[in-house]
Parts: sequence; C-alpha cells; structure tokens
Amino acid sequence: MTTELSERAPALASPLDWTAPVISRRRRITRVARDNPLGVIGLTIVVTLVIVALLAPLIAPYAPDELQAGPKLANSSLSHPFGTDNLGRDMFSRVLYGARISLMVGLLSVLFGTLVGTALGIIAGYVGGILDAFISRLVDMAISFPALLLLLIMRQVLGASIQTLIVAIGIAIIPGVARVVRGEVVSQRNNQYVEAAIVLGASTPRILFFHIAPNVMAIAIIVMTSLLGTAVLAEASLSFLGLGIPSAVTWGGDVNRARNSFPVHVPWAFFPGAAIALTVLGFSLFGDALRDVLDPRLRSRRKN
Amino acid sequence: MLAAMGVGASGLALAAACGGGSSSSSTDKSPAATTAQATQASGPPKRGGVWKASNQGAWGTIDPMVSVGNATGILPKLYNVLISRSNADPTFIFYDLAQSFEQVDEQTYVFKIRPGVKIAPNSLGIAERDMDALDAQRSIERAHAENDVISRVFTEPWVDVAQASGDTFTFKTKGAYSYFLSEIGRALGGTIPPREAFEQKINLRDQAAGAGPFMIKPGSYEETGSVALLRNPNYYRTDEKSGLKLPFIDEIDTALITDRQARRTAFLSKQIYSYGAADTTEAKELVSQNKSLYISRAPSFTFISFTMNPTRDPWKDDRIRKAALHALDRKQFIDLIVGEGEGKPDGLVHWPTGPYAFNETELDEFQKYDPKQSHDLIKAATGNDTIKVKITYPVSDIEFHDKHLPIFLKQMKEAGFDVQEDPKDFSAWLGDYTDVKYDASLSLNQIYETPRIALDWQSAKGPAGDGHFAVGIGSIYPEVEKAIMDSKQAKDQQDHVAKVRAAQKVVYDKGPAFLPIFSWYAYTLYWDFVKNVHELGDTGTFLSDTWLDL
Amino acid sequence: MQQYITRRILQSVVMLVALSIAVFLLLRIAPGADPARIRCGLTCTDERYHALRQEMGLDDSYLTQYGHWTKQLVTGSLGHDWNGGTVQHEMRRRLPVTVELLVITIFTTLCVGVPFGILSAIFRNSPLDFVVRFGAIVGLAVPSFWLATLVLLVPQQMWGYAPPITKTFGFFESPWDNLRQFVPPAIILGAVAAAGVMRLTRSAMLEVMWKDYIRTARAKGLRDRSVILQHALKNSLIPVVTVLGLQIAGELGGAVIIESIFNLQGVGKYFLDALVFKDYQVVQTLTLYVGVVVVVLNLAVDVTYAWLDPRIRYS
Repeated sequence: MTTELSERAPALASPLDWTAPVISRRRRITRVARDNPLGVIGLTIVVTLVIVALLAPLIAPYAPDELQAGPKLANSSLSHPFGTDNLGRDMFSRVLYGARISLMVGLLSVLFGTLVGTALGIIAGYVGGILDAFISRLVDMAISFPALLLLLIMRQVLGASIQTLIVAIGIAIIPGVARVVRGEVVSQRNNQYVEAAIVLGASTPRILFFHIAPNVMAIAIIVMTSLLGTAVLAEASLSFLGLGIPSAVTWGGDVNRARNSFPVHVPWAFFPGAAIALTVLGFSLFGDALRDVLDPRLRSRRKN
Repeated sequence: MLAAMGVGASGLALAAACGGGSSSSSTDKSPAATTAQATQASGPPKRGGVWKASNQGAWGTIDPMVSVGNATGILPKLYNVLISRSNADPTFIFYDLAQSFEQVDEQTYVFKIRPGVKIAPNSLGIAERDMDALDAQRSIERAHAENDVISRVFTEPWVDVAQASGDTFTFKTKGAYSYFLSEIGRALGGTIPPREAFEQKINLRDQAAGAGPFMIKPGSYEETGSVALLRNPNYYRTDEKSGLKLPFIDEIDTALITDRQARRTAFLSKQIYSYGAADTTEAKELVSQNKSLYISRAPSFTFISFTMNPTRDPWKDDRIRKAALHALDRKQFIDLIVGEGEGKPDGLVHWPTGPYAFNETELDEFQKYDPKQSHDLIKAATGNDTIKVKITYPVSDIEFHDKHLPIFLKQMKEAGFDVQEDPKDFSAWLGDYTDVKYDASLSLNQIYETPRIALDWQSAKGPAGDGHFAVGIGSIYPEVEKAIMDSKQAKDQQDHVAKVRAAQKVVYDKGPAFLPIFSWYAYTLYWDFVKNVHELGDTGTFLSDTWLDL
Repeated sequence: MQQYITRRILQSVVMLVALSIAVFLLLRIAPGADPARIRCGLTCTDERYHALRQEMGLDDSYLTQYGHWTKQLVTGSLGHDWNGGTVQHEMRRRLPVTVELLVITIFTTLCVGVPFGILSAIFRNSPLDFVVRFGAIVGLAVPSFWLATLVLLVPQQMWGYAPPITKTFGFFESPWDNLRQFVPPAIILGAVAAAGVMRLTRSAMLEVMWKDYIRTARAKGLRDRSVILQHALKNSLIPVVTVLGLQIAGELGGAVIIESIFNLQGVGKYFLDALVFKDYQVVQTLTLYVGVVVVVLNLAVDVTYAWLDPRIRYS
C-alpha cells in the first residue's frame, strides 16, 4: 500500500519521502552513503581528481613542459614516480596538469551537450507533431553531418584551442542525447499518470516538470556519465588523428605519443591512460549511485 | 626538383636534385658493398621471389613526368633516366639510357644512347622497341608544352637545346649550371617515357609503358589502388658478376600502410620485407629482439626548419632574425630526439650534402647557441629584454615535427621570445605557408639531396623559383641574390663547393630567414634474406640487383 | 502506420536535401587553402593552379557546381578523387569493408551487452551485478585504440602472430584471412559499445520492472520469469535500439582509428583524408550516403519502438 501511495503522489524529485518519519539530515546522508558504497567511491574519485586538477601547480614537482627534467624514458623512481617521456619530461607532473584540461574538456563539453540535447529531446518527445518531426529531422541531419568537418572548420575559424574542442565535442554530443531522451519521453508520455494529469487539467509545464523530467533524468544521468568518458577519450582520439592540440598537456596526447614509440615504454603509456580510466570510473560509479538515489520508484522499492 | 605530399595525410616533402659539377665520360661501375651488407654473408644471387614493399600514401598519378612524392619508389622501376648520379656517393654514376656522356664545354653535354633498352610489354599499345635519343628529346618538348610537368623547374630556366641526333643526345644549358648532372637523373621528373605518350596523347596516369626493370601487373593499380610490378622480360641489363639477367626479383607487391604500428607489425610478421624505423632506439631495440634483422643506416637529407617572414615586423629587423638564429640549441634537439651522435646540426645547407655544408666547428662561428646574445640583440632592436612574436605551425602527424615542437618553443622562450602559438590544421597552414601569409612558422620536413633548394630558400624567388614560399632575404639584399646565383654557375666541383659556402656566409651576415635545424641518420631495417641492399640515396632506387634468399 | 511511414519518408527527403546543401556550403566557405591549391601541391605553378580550378569546376557559381554534383550522383560517375582514383571505384571498394566491420561489431555488441544487462538487472546488487558493472565501466574507460594496440602488440611479441595487414581480404575471396582481419577490431569496437549498451539495458530493465502492467500481469498469475522476459525486455530495449541506431550511424563514418591501426581499407580513413584534402566530391557524397542510411535506420528504430511498446501509437 505504501508503495502505491508514494508512486501515485506527485513525483518527488528529492530524496525526501513524505511518508517517512522526519530524520536528521546527517543520518539521511549517512544512510544514503551506506546503501551506495560504490557511489561513495565514485564521488571520492571525482572530488580527488577535481582537487588535484585545481592544485596541480602546487603539487607538481616539475613544470610539465620542462625538458630533460630527468633522463629520457626513465622508469618509475622516487624523483619521478610516473617515469619520464621521450623528451625527459616528468610524467607525474604531466598527469597532474593533464587533469585540468582533460577534466575541463570532459565536464564542460558533456554538460553543454547534455543540457541542450535533453531540452531538445523533451520538447520533441512531449510536444510531438510538427515540432517533433522538425527537431527529429534536424537531429538526423546532425547525426549524418560529419562532426569532423565541423571540428575542422571551427578550428580554422576559432583557432585550434581547448575552447573550440569543448564546443565541438559538445555539439557532437547533442543529437545522440536528444534522440535517447526523446525515446524515453515518448514512452513516458503514454504513461497513465500523465494521462490522468492531463484529464485533471494539469498544465503542460507542470506535467513536464513533475512527471516526465524526473524519469528522464535517470536516463540523462546514465547517458551523461557514459559520455564523460567518451569526451575524455574523444580528446585522445582527436590527437591520434592529428586534430589535437599539440602544445597542451593532455592525457590523450601523451597516451598517443607513447603508443607510437617502440619499445613501448610502460610507465609513459600506462599512467595517462590509467588516469583516463580512473576518471571514467569515478564518474560512472557516482552517476550510477546518483541515479539510484534520485529515482523515485527505485527508492520506494528499496523500502520494501 | 620539387615534390609534394610525401608522408601520410598531412605529410609534405620537398625533394630535390643533387648537386655537383661536371664529369667527363666514364663507364659503368658497380656500387661498393654497403656497410649493411658487409656484415651479411651471401652466396651467388638467386633469381625469383616476390618483394613485399610498403608505401605510406597513395601514388596518385604514376605518369613519370607529372607524379610527385609517393611514386618515388616505383618510377625508377618502370622508366629510365639518361644517367643518375648518387648524392650519397658522388663517385657513383648509374648509366641507364645513356651508356656514356661527355661534357664538351661548360654548357654542352653529349650523351651516347645505349642500344637495346627495350620497352616492356604494355597495355597502352606502345611497341616493344628500343628507346632512343628521340624519346629523350620528346620528353623535354613535353616539359615545355605542358604545365604540370614537374621538371619544368629545371628545364625552363636552364635548358637551351635538347637535340637528338642519331644515337646521341645533346644538351645545351643557358649558361653553366652546377646542378645539371643531378637534375637530369632524378627519380622524380628525370625519368623518360616513350615518345608515343606525348605524340599520341596517351594517358600515363594509371598505366605504364617503359623500359625499366619492371612493368605494371596489368590492371593491378586500377582495381586495387595498389601498384604491383612484374619483371620486365625485355630489360636490357645483366648482372656482371653472376651473368644472370636483371632484375633478380620476379614481382613487387606494395601495401599501403599509413599507421606506423601497422607497418611495424607487418614487417615483424614478414608481410613486408623492409621498414623505416622512427629513430635509433626503435631500430636497435628491434634488432636486439630479433637476430634475423639487420640495419641499413644512411644520412637522411631531411630536416625541420624555422621560417621567418622578413617582410613583417618584427622579423624585418636583421637583429631579430639573428636573435632567433642564436636561440636554437641544436645539440639539445639532437640529444632529445634521436640521441647523441645520431644526427648533426644543420647550417643553411644541411650536412648530408657533404662538403657544401659547414662542419660543427665552422658552424659555431655563424650560429652559435647563445641565448644571452639573443637577449642582447632583442634589446638592441627594441629596447626590451623580450619581444612578443606569433609563431604558427601545422598540427601534423609527422613524428619529427611533433618532437621538435616543444623543444623549439622552450628554447625560443628562453632566448627572450614571448611566443604566441598559432597552431593550424594542415590545409589552412599550407595555404598561408605557400603565399607567405604568416609572421613566422615552424615548418614540416624538407628533403633535399643537394644544396640548390636549400640556398634557393634564401633567395627572392623562393625554393620553387616562382615566388611561392618565398621568404628569402635575397629580396632585400641584392648581394645575397648574386651570391646564390653565382653558386649555380660554377665551373667545376671545387668551384661549386667554394661558391656554395661563400653564399652561405653572405646570408649569415645579413640574418637568414630560413633556418634548418638538424638532420639525422635514417635507419631502415631488413630481414636477413634480403640481399644486396644499396645505400646510395635516390640513385639506389634505379638499381635492380637486390635479391631474396628465400 | 502506413501514413506515418510515408510522411517520414517525405520529411527525410527534405532533410537529406538540406543536409547536402549544408555540407556543400560549409565546405566552400571554410577558410584555408582551396582544394585546387592542395591538389596542385608544392610544385604548383599559377597556370597549373588555374587549370585545376577550372577542371574541378571551382570557378563556376555555387548553383552550377551543386547542379553538376547532383547530376553526377544520378549517373554514378563522380570523377576523380585527390589521389587520382575514381570516387565511384573507391567507394565500391571501401564500403563493403566498413559494412562488414560494422555488422560484426553490432553482433558482438548485442550478444554481449544485452544478456549481461538483463542478468545484471535481474540479480541487482549481487556479486554478478557488481562484476558486470565493473567490467562495463572498464570497457568504457579503456580507449579503443589503446586496446587495439595491445591486440596487435601482444600476440606479435609473444607468438610472432599478426593478422593480415597489408591488404584487405574480401570474405568470398579468402574467408579465413578475412575473418582473421575483421574479427579482432570488431570485437574491440563491439566490446566498448557493449559496455554502454549493457548499462543502458540494465537501467531500463530496472525501471521497467516496476511498471504497472507488470504488476497487472503478475496479478494474473503468470510466473516471474516469463513476465520479465516478455514485458520487461521489450520495453527496456527501447533505449538500446536507439543507441544501436546511433552507433551504426557513427560507425558509418567508419571507425577511422581502428581502420588505420588494422590497415583496413574502409570508408573511415578515406573520409578523414578527404576532409583534410578538401575533396568536395568525396565528402559531399559520403555524407549523403551516411544521411540516407541514418534516415532508414531511424525509421526502423521508431517502428521498432511501436512494436516494443504497444502503447506508443503513431497517428
């Protein structure tokens, strides 16, 4: 009974369940944390990365572009925990500084792309009709449009900089997100609660906000956390294709340079790649847990 | 000679002709055994087998007079030159269509055509006849007539008369030309197609008809995009020592592989038989892992360069250009990129050209690494310790460029240049670089086998002779222009060396705008069943006496 | 439904025309060296450059150029690319390569992603769930080109084995060589995509398992297992199908990096090179092909929606 009641109530976008007794905020957070250990790990990773990125200039033992800070292709040692690359640059410092750009590119581009894409998807999916058709065809067009061409042109016009990369990756993300969100919205639209709400005279914004949006958010968050990894990897791939930013310190750039050298120097190749993997791991775990926590229906099931 | 589009999608190569004075008639000479081969024991050569080669990019057109860059490997296999003189070893001359020649005077060369140089079976309907002097003449006529023939860079300014007469062919140049013998024998642009191609307007883009050691496997190029070659049964040459007809190899298959790792994998699994290593470390590591490999090491006529536009601020000022000259610590480039001893600094003429280049001690007189002097020069010119400059460069997948970049930027910064970077994608960069619409640029690899183009970079008309890429201070200082022109009209080898060196001195005095950084040793790896590999530069590609011990 | 499909096709045609015009214009207004300059190369003389411009039709008005191109599309003869080969021939040679890679990739993705997603959802929070989710996250984290490098490097170092890498073998030509060439890269691509598909499947399954009509079905007395399989699966496939559609569209551009690493002569690298060399014909034509496939795919995806979730109706 409790289940059905809470489900039929106006969708609750916050973890606060109105049928539960009021408990202190700290205990609530502790309980959430206990139920989602992986999420806590994810959050820790994310926060650590952000702190490292912010404090890189203070923590890094060398400047990332300092040539011959150590012998070329050195293995891990006390003075160079992550070894050195082919020009003798300290990899530990490069990984620390690399966090700044890789995180910035990943976060900003995905944020931008997901926001715009979700908005488009919701509008298309809910309103339907001509607007849906128009947006959907635009999205089709965007999917077929060579993203690389757009990137090349943007680079020529705006310069081959980080900002261009962020905007380009963001734009490339939009159609995919829009389509997935639209699909979800279309399936939610026919939900009987929505029909009931319409019959009861609820206004469109209210329906969108209270019924559709929370359900869409789950999908959006999962997609977004997947995309964060993709965005960081995209930077690496673009370096491979010769469309990167050679002077900037990025994880992708380093992985790529290490890949081409032979013999493959393990520390040089491993650590930036591990940093990418760790970032993706952190965001994914955190995102999964966040979704679990925010999803109204899953919450109620858990109480049973 | 210039060529383009060498390596990969964003590759560029400017190849050039060899230099040198004149030589009187001489006979065929077998090339000396190379150091690589000296360590390989080999018995008598065997005939047969398929040579598996690789190319980094598509061939484009294989018309020998029009083709650029990627076809360097196959044009010498399909067609002939009169003679080809090695830049790596100038005492070695490959006599092909000409069995001998004589330099009658400063401007006149008479070539005696070899009988029996027979055209291969072909699908273009050209008869399998002997090549003759008239073919050579028609090729020059074609150069005059058609705009896209690449040897025009040589024929237009320098060839006065090109006349066939019986079995001799006579060249007369417009004034003594130091580079004549190099430029008539280039793999790119020097090869001679049968005259029917010109007379009957036969298209040589996808098909070939020549008298070289190999012929195209019918249909291979059009269908697969990859050139496969078969032995030319009509080829005239016989190997002296063994008495066997050349070429030894039955067939050449070429794979198109752009990615370095894919190429390395193909080589290590014997899907291709040779591999150009990225650097010494890789070459030595591969050989240490596999005893059946051997290294062939030769100076690479390649370098990355820094170009300044002397018509723009602040590079207009001689002192600022000289500040850049002294900012470069070439030793650091060498140590970091290829390892100590694996390369040498370049002056205005790069060291693999031999006596034309100044050696390291001499170079210190002109371009000593001295950042303090750079600071002083900047101060003298501007009153400040540092100066803001904008430097552009292509975002490229050429490995050497990628390695040069951070070192270059660091050194410039330390010398007092506050660099604003302007990275551009290849096509955008190329447009600006060609029309000289930039302040300063780090440029992609240049490959010249002779000093001619290296010096032309310092002249008003630029390396192509038509104003493209032109940043030479010859446009500002007529004495520079004169010195460069003089070096093209030397009387003999000794005179030529002296004039090339003198020209460099004049340029150094005024502050050069084009700075080669350093040239390295190139390492090519072979499987040990590949025998008789030559280290003769471009000329080596005409020789067909490599064989496979399979 | 019939009407819906017809309307969609009409809309799509309009979209394709818009797409072709967009690409056409964008290519021409892009700054930098023009294609004639690039094709002319470094030995370019002014005469040769202008001759090339004329030959490539660059001096004609945009309208003329566009008309010329559409006519070429119809006749199928699209001229020569920047390498000197015929565009038509190159496409015919390369499309099957990319398609084969795509098919095997999709197959891998579905076979790995969907079942594991379902299992992970059913046994939520069990050790299996954690292992699978962890595997998925690792799969998403590792760059595909890094994995590809290892796949080539390790067998080479350890057993001296390498797949054929000098040319691309057709399936009917020599099936064993063909599979040796295509399966490793396809598995890499498929595994990476499977990770994403698995997470989506799991997420959608979890949401769906609590929907009304499942409870209704339960009330009717059906067993758990058939309930899950029949109802949950269908609905949870919606986002999966969408992602697949996107994946196909993305892959059509060709998995450029994978194709380079394994030296597969597919459409991917060709397209990238065409972009760099500003080969208008190739870029425009390939983009249009991709557009057509995307349109067809999306239609198929939307129709599949209706089949999967009976409540979705298209008027």
